Amino acid sequence: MKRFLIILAISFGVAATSYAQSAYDEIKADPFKAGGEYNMYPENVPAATPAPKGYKPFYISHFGRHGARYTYSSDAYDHMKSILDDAHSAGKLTPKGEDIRTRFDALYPSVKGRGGDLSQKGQAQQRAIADRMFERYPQVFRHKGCISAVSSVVPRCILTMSAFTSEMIRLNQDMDIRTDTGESFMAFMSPQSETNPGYQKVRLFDKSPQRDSIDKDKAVLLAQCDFPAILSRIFNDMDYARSIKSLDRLTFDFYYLAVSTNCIDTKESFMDIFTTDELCKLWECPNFDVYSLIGPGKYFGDRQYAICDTLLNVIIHDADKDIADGKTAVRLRFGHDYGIIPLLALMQVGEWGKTIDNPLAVKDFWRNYDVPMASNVQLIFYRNRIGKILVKMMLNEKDVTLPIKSVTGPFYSWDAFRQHCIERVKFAEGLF
Amino acid sequence: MNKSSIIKVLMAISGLLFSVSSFAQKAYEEIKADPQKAYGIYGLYSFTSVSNAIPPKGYEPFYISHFGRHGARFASSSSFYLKAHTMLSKAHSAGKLTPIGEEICHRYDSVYLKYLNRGGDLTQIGQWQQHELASRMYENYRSVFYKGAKIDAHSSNVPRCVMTMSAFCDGLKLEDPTLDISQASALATMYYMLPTSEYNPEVTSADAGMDNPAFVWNATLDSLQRTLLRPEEFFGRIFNDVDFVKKYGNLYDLEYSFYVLVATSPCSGYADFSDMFTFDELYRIWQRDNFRYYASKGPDPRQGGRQWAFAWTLMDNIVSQADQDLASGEYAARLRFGHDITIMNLMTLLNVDGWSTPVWNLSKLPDTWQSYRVPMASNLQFIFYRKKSDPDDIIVRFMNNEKDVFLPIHSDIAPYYHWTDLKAYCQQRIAVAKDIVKRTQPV
Repeated sequence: MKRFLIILAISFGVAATSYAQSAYDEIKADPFKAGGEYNMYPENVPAATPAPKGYKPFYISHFGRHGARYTYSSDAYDHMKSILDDAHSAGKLTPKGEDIRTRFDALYPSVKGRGGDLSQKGQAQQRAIADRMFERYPQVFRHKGCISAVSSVVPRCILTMSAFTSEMIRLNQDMDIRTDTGESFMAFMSPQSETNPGYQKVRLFDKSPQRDSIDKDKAVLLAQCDFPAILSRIFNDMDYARSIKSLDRLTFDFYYLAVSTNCIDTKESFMDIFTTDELCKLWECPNFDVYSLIGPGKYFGDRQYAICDTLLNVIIHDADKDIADGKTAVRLRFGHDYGIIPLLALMQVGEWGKTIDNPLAVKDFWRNYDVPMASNVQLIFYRNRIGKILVKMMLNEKDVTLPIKSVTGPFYSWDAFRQHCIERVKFAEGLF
Repeated sequence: MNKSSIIKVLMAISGLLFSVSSFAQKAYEEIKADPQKAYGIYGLYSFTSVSNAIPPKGYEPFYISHFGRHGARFASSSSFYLKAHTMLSKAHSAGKLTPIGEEICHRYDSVYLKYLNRGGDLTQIGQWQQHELASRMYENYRSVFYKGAKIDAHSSNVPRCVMTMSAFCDGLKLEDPTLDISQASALATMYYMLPTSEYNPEVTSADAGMDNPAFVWNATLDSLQRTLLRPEEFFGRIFNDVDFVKKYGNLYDLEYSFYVLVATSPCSGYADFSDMFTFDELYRIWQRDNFRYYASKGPDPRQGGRQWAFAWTLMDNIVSQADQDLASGEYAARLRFGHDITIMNLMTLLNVDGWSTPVWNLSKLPDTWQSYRVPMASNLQFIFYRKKSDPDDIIVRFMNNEKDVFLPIHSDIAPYYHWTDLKAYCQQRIAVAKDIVKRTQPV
């Protein structure tokens, strides 16, 4: 089936503008997708679309998310430890709950304090992506220009950059690679930074009426989930479970444990806590959160994704400069899902910028598991003998479409592509 | 008069014992010979000399345990640069600069954008230093780095340290792409990677940081700087109205901002401001800063050893990982990337070259204890050798900045030590340090 899907994807060449398969079917085929942004980077990516006749790649502009990491915070592991220990002492665990506790206890020493850290799997993902970039666009690396890399200041992003660039050194010791990080890059490397003036105007992480509306609309998605059915597998007393915290929040503690464990260097898995149907429904909730908070949701009047105009601006300006002076062949940028998702929305890639009124319909157009760990955007620039420049854009090494006319297949004229980006930056600026 | 105020008075007096006219000779001469040393912990690493001890016959290096400070960086905080820039620009507009001041203002203005918001960041020179150090380590100890050798690297979670680790590992990869290097940076290891940090459960809020108001030596530092420094003279050369300068704060602190600008400029190489201070001014500021590090991270008796004793966690990590690695043979090298204060802690804990000697007469301090031994990219290396004919016969050389240093233990093969002797000594010092932490832990 998987192979069939790959063939299907290849035969479409360019990713279809709307999903061919329902999200539930995709999750049923690959339950790890239910992890949303904890989904792992695909091991098989389609072959690169051949360059149009007479064109050769000469420049790459990239923005990549860090590779697989531990769960979002160390507290989450400590908290899980005390939930299971307390319930055990109180005799409130089912045999299945006891089994989960035993397995978690075995894992705990290796995850304690590691929240947010890049895993070894995360480093391997970067090496694989670097290998393919090097292998698929060799002409870019034959060029004398340097490779310039910048990362977010968060350690897992610096380590991600290091994994990527040290693989490039392994492939070719003569490459001139320059790396950098610092707060001064954060306004574009992580658009939700205090240093980004746009973010100052739309403080997404603060309590706000918009956040309240998101929560209100999300209720319909939470209502689809049968939290007692899930938790009764672990706890033998629902009143006890309720005394810990609300059942939905307690369920999501186990959900994040399960989906994040797949990202770290262990054979352990907690996915057996859930049925696939449950996973589908659970997934819709964080998918909706991200869609609303940094995607094209209707709550913040487009400003929630428009704040990444800083990043789009840098991409265009770097390209202008690098094409003109030929000094830089590759621009690598290592950041977060919170950089990629708004960028896709702002650039109107595929359906990533589409606003959907009905929370239940979001899943039909918008799926956060397509921004997995190590997810990346790559712009590959091609040039012909007379200096005409084409560009194709990929998400996770698969071609994507923009709402402009292509020259052929996924290849756009750089002029048109650039014009589209500039218009989108202007649109964003107009909102503030 | 209560006990604490008596102590404060005594400390102030001991500070006054620091007679500025009697320059301690050793440090003064060393700084004369290498003015970078006047920049103390901001100084650049000297790549000129390396100890080239020839190991006793029949021994071969096979394992390295290392702790390195991050490479050259910008000032620890952008506020130093901002302060100096604001003062110069405002004075320029108000006509408060001397001709010398105008020239400095212009020079700084032309590069200021390159300093803006870069506080704490590793520079390109900082990365180059690590490439260089890695390449020297590889060349000097080829037998450690066999094809495919497994190397473990850990860094403090501060971005410049992660970048430093990455640059060092890239340096090794450039020498041999087959090396199997794993890199990690985790809060979970900070209790030994930065033992004086809040991540160490033994550290309290009264212990943390460099400028903690709870520090008992603050009064001494204050009287020392009053004795040593003449900020009016310094500012008088640049500003034609020292009262204008005073609007921006305490003159000692302001002078220190300019010192940091001057001292860190070679780290980025964007501009040279070394002419801003006279040699004697730099020497005096260094002495003040040297005391600050000595009092905070060294053996100053005022803190009872509590600060350096925290580093037992790192010493313990070095010893126990060496034991494990020597037994399993799995890792060829353990690399650690952290901060200056941790190197100071560890050198004091091990009493390197008499670094744990308390100094009451502060005029003698520069002879015993010099912060410039811990410049940017400074490092400690334990190089393990074994006898080819008897692999259980293991000896170690121990270096600060790639130069052999001396530990107060007997050795018939100095500067090498038998691992059994060195390990016993480390364990004894760990026990002493643990005891100090325990005795001084607030209840």
